Amino acid sequence: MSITPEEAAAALQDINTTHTRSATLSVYARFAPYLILWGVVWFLGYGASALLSEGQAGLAWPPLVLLGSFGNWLITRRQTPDHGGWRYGAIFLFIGLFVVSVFTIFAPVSPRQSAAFFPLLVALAYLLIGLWGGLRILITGAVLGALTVLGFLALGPWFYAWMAVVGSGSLIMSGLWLRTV
Amino acid sequence: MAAANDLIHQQMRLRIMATLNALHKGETMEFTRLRNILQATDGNLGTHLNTLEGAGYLEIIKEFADRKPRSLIRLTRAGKTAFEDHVRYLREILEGPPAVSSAARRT
Repeated sequence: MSITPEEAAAALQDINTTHTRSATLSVYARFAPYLILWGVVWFLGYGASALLSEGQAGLAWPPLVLLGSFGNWLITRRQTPDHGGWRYGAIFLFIGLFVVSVFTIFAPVSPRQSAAFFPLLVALAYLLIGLWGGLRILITGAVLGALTVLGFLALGPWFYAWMAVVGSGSLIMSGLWLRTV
Repeated sequence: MAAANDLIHQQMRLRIMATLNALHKGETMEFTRLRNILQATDGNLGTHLNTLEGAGYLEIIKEFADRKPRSLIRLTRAGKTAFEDHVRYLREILEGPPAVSSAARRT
């Protein structure tokens, strides 16, 4: 079999394009279940914040976050059985330490401010991951961040309801979008 | 210099191998997803997959999920090696074979 340099160049270009597309779609497919999971958790949590008193909503969030973290762990274990390990726990530890430090430094932080802070933190993470992971993740981060700031600044008492519907909805929709080819 | 692989050097089969080679170790891809990524028809993709499976380059796992049959596909170690060798061959056509060090030449 004889292959000319032109044919070799074209084949390599084709391989490169296919590989890039496949790798990006693979990242999307791995990322999607996390978005859908946390979209549901946010819907329940922000829904509770919108409908219940601050004290009652404060009680609803910890079990929801624990449930979400457990689901997160299950997804990671299913996707990468030979990866993660102690590093996975370390991620939550570092994020927890960061959040506690920020809230200590900026205390007193109102429930509304803390309710806006977490989505912004998530949006930032998606923006950073999206730089390498792909445009759709980047867009998800940008949309989530913009919706959070908009809701916090413009919607006053409707902020929690906004986050329950639009914030969690954007996560779920993004998750479904990432699953498409 | 690496050798050409006639079986892999066909546009659709090259794309199949490149797509599956981008997966993580042990990861599989569903037939329908592969078909959508490559924008191929069922028949065309199936024929090429059978050819590659016959050569031992990929593995097709058939199973049931929610009572529906599905095919999961992944490269075998031999397939990964064959694909990488063929890519090296293509690069060598453009860039020439890798230089042999003087120490290696003496042995």
